[in-house]
Amino acid sequence: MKNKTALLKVSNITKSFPIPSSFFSAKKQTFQALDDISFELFEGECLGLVGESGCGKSTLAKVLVHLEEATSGKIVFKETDITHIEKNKLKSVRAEIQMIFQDPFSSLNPRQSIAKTIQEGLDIHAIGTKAWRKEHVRNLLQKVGLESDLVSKFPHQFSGGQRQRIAIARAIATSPKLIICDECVSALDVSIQAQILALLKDLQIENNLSYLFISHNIAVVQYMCDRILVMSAGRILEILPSANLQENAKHPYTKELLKAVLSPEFKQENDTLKKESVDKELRNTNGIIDTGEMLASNETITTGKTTNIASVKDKEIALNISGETAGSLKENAGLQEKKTENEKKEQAYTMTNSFACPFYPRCPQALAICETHVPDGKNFQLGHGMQTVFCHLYD
Amino acid sequence: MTLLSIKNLSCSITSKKEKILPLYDINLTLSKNETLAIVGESGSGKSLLCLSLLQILPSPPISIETGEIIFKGQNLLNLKDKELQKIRGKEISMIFQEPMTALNPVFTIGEQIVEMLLTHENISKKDALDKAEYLFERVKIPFAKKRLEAYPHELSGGMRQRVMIAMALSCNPLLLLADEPTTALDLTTQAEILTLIKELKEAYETTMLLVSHDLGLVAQYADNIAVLYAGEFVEKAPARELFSAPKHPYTQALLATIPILDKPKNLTAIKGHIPQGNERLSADILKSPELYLQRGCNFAPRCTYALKKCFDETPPLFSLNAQEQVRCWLHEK
Repeated sequence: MKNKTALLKVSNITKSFPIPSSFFSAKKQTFQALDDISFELFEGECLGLVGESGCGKSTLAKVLVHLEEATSGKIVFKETDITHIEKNKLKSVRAEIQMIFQDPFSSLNPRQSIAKTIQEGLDIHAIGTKAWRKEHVRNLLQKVGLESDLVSKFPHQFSGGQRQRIAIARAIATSPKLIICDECVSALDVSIQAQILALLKDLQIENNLSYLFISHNIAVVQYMCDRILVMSAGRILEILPSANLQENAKHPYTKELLKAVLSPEFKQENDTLKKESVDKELRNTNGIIDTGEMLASNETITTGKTTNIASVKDKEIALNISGETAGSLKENAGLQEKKTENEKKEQAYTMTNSFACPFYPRCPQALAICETHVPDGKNFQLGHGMQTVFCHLYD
Repeated sequence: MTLLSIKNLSCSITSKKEKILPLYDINLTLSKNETLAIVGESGSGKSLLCLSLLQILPSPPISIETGEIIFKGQNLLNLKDKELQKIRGKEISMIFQEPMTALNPVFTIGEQIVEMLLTHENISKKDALDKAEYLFERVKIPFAKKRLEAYPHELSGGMRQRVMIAMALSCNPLLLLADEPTTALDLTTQAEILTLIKELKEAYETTMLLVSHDLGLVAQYADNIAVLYAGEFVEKAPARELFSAPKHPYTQALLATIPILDKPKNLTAIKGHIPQGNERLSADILKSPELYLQRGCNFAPRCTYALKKCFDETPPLFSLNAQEQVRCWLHEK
């Protein structure tokens, strides 16, 4: 972070997938998975990437390691343009960008011994002599906290945490500069998760690694990372330093995400809340809250949201974010004309991307302009870091 | 008022090599309207406890060895399958972890919920469909009527879990078992589903047994918490006490492994792993209880405070006061 050399520079990346359409339909439809993604990842930095599922986190990871080719845009790694790199040159880049996948149960080949799994990368890139590679594999296993005698064993003989350690050993085998961790702790138990996070941190310092750390768990991302990218429906909505998120977050979407985080602490206010809900229940003599009242309470809640009181009540409120990110069909946007309120809502469920800001249909502070105009990034100085927000509220 | 009490419940798993006890000597009471959370790592026996309540264990290899499950004054373990079938889904219902595997992919969700209503309630098919539509509206599924004709794969994860909740609540159950109801879901969807469960639980006056590995979730939604480790309860306490002053070293260690938003701290990992295979309680102790007493604390090998006594003698569950119980020699009186 200190010298701030950009290791990876991504500019205006887009990725669209064709949607299978009927043979006779005139127009080819496309699904916009990534839309105008730009960011920099500095040397030795851990950059977090958060967002709901389906927002394009994993697609971005795949584009960066060339498992998918970007539709347009530019990826610069160590000052070399790798966007449309030839196959023979790609090999050397792959040694330097490695990936750790989410599920250690499916990311290791069940028919390969651990030695083979870890050594494969070294063999492909022809690093060192044969004897050295063998020795190196044993060292790597020790580095990730496993016994070096385990090399001849097979993946099914290990637990989830141990398998993730093996996956990490495989990733660091070719001495990469950048490791992309795609939800690499979300399949693990909390006690094991802490072990793996500690290991990743140690390895980062030891080998001067950079991470792109993808996770839906914001508390974990904050613990690991220096800066955080917030994504929704294929777009970056905010880039901010990871300290004091609740105070510094500017984009309404980031705020909503933060409110949905459940922290393992008992809150005094929980008791009062409980009392309130009991009162409410008593008022409803039939025991069932009718929808009218439910809506009314939701409304009061939304107004409360804008006043921005950071309390448990807010947390309670946050639980009312409606809608889910879902696929996006750009072409269909033209079809909608006059629709009832309800139908619009339905649309929001399925076509987040048809709006200029993907959070528009769910945003409590949405403006008219948010529906039609894509917001530009606004920069704010925050301590030593820089915060970028893509939201019309800060125009 | 006590709705459910479990007494000395033990389950066994038989394999070719050995017979172990994934749950041993479980005692539990649930009062009406209470939300009790069971937390523990994977392999601690949380889900097994839920399944044994409904007796839907894969048997063999898993079977209930000893104990009583008393629900509304009758022991569920003595009931015949036909009688049990009247309780399953009607009085005790369950929300499963994976809504994709819990729903049948070849039937529409409407057919599945109607089947449940027709089994348990004496109503016509038309009324059942109307009720299903009403339930879908209650769980805030937009376009409820249209959705009844959808197949599970046509819905998103959040919507599927809503369907599961609608099914679970369809017969106004007295007891709701929620086995990791939101683990497969997104952060914001998780929050929605949990609020929904909470609202409906209060509206229907349902008692809930919430099973989760997520201490954050449990902190927000449970009244009381029981921590399960390798098939035994190690700590039982009200949520307030458990999070402000955890007593058992395992609970303390577990809380120290979780990063908290905007409160930077160093995470301390728990060394080692949860006992597996032959490290678990062997079924021999059912015949000779003295073997159990000499076994030592399950958590001792991973515990930072372990005394010599912890390896030689098994601690009982000490009662600290009316509500708190801890299985640890450090809290011996």
